[in-house]
Amino acid sequence: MSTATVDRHKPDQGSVPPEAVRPNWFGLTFGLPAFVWQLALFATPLIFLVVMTFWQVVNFRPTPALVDDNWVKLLSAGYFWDIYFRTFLYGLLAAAVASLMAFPVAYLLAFRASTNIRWLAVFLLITPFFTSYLVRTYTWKVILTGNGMVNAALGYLGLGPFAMVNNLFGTLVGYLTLVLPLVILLQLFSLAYVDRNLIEAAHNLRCGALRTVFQVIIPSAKIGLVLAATFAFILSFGDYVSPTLLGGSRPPTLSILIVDVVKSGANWPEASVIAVMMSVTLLAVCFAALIFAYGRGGRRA
Amino acid sequence: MAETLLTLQQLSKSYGPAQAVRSIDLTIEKGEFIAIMGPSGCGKTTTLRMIAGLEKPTSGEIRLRGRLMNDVRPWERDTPLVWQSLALFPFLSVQKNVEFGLKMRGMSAADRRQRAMQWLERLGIAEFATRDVATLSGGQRQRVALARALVTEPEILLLDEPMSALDAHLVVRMQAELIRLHRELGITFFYVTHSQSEAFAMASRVVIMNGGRIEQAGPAKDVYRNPVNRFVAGFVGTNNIMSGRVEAASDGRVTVATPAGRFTAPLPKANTPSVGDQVDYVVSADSIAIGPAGAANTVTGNLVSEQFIGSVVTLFIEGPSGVELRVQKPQRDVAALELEPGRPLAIGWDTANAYILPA
Amino acid sequence: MSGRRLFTLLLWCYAGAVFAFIFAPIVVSFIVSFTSDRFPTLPLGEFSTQWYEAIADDPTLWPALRRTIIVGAVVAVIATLLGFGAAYTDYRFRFFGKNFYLALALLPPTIPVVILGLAMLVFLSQIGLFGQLHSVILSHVVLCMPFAMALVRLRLSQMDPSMEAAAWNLGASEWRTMVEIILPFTLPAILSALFITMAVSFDEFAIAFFVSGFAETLPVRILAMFQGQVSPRINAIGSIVFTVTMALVILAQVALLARNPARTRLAVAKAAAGESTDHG
Repeated sequence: MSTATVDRHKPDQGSVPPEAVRPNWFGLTFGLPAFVWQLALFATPLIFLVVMTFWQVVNFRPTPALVDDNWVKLLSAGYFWDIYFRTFLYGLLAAAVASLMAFPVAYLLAFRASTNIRWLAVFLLITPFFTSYLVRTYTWKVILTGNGMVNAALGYLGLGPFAMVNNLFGTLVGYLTLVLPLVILLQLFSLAYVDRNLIEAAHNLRCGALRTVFQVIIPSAKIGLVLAATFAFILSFGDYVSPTLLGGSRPPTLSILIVDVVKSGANWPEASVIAVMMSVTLLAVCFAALIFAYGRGGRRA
Repeated sequence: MAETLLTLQQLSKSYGPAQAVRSIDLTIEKGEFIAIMGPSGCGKTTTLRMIAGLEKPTSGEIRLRGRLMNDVRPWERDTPLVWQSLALFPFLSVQKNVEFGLKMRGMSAADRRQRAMQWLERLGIAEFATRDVATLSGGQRQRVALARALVTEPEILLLDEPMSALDAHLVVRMQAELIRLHRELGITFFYVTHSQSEAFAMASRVVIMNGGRIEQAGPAKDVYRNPVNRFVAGFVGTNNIMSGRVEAASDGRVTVATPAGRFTAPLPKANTPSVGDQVDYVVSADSIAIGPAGAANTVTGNLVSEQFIGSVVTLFIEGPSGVELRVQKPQRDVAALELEPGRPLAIGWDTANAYILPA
Repeated sequence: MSGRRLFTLLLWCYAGAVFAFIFAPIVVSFIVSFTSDRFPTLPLGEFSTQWYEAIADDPTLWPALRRTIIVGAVVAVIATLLGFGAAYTDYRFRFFGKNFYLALALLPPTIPVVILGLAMLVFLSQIGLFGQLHSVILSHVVLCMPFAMALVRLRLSQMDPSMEAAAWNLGASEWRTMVEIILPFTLPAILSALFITMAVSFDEFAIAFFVSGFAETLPVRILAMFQGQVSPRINAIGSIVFTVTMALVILAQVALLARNPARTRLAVAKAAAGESTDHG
């Protein structure tokens, strides 16, 4: 019946033979050290951080206890919630601005650039990760400060001077310095996996470039775009350097609050409460982002 | 009398509830070229991997020269395998690839170099000894894989669909090469494939597997000419299979009523059917003639389509009650007939060319 | 010019502006470090190496640099060893709780460094390991190991899934296969992991800020200098650190590409282009 059905390029991808996948002594030699290390020095400290929130400070020393003082004190403090919501809004703002700024670039690189240009752009976008974020932020301060380069240049045109540091604008510049390359990269990778046939089809249906972007590309790449925005939020939400150096520490963000509480008061339990609140928030945001990305309309085609 | 090399006894393999191999029995002799064939997921590759020690049998036994192999680790066996992906070591030269097995056996550098070169010469790729495997063509890489597996001079060579990545014209050349090697070396080749053309071209014995079981095992010609059941008849060659009921069984012939008509076949010697039995009536596509030739069995139908594979044409004909019949003829025979789709066409075959299988 | 061409041209201009924004601080930092002005503005001051001389004379910087290098080197070795083991475990084995294992191995970089730093501070001081160089090392390995693991894991996923079994089949034991096959195959990724983890550690300031105590590393020292005075010395240090880090990254790239430049480049480019990258 079957005339030697030609099914040539279908390798039997069982990855590793199933009998070989159960760990043995050989396997434990490789797997266990990393596990022990991360369990002892990553998981345990984070769990201990939660424990610490119930300790007391006695004679300037954190002392084991089981009290909810730190939680009550902080969660009933108006200033904490002010800072909390401000930090949250800053994170959202950074995520939104970075996503909007990045998208045209990612779109261009994904659909209009040659492979070589795209390769070069990817390399260039990775470079900032290996330059000191501290020094880059500091340099922005030099560039944007009252009598810095930008204001000097604008001065020749008869404009300014503008206040660009020690305010939200400065903080935002810092956040973008941190997250923009990553957001472009993540968007680029998600756009690269959009089915080209879909775009062809859209063009054949006389869908204009912009309509194609909004009706075909963005829905297809939704997961990656949401992921990129989520990373932008996580990084900005936890950043200490930008709001300190470019935002002038005032008004503070949660990271600044943690550092202040640790440095000035050595009040570790209280700092731990802030850190736990931050972690819970980040978890909730990640969860919400996942639901949004994979939920209704996630893969409209 | 041939010497037994490998026996599989009630060999089974299951992954949780899924049974990949269900209690198969197979005895393989020294020097045999045996092909295991079947659709994907039939358990043929799992069987091969159990022989190589890459999977542990759930139950049953594997014995090599009488020695129980079930718990022998893969590296303690001498059952080299030619992989579907070839799995050459990309960071080693051709020669180092071939030397690998010898190095693992502790052979001195000079000796293994000499041995590797012998095999490279034997397979006609000595000139590439120092080359990077990535720079070789598909056929050359295939030869490296063979040399690497054979260099330790094993008694059995396992081959797991080794030609599935080759171009069609190379497959024929590699088949000739394998047949030559097999004859020269006199060792057992255990060849897993889903391609019947490969299996029938090379193997002295063919095993058809389906759903983890062996459906039929025997010399290639027997399996091709006398399938034991509907699965094998459907899998091997191009057969027309029609369900029907026995109307008469006498004088060495049996008459079967099928939706396409009433046909005759020789009366089987064993399992003789009686009148009223449900059977499958089988006639192979290449034994059907076109035109009223006074054959014992005739059908008139409409030509639906033609399909060309090499120099062979398959005609698809819709017979009575919508039964689809296939006829295979050499291209030049068909060209003279000037067939057109949609036209009625008479076909026929002799009683001797058909057979029946119990349903 | 058609509308579509104009649109694309505008996009290119915009992309140029975004890249200018990303690279402005890096380029300006270099320039500023070589000018004479304490408060750099336009027009630029004269060429000067005074800030480099100033940091050469700064007695606090050299010990900090020495510590940073020690931490970076030790962290690179440990993180790469652990990362390799974790990557191989993920590649080869299936076991109960594997998702937990992977979460432990990969999550640290997603935790804000301020939180990670505080957690390390609180925990390490409890067990008496706070305020020394090894505190930074212990913490940085946690942060850097995932990078090493990801790099090695990526390389392993490029390996023919049958290759390890092919070596066993030819008589190599698991250990022998590790030495003869897995290690040579992953060597580029291992070298790459060494350089990348060192670069990450070299640059990390928040965790080090919390746990280093008096054993300040260079980035912590820079952070302290911010709080003090404005000075292009920071740019000078930054330029040196940038040069060193980039050298490490380029070495890592070279290590990755050395074996098979064409194929790796092609694979990355293809991945970026969304094409399938099966080669075989």
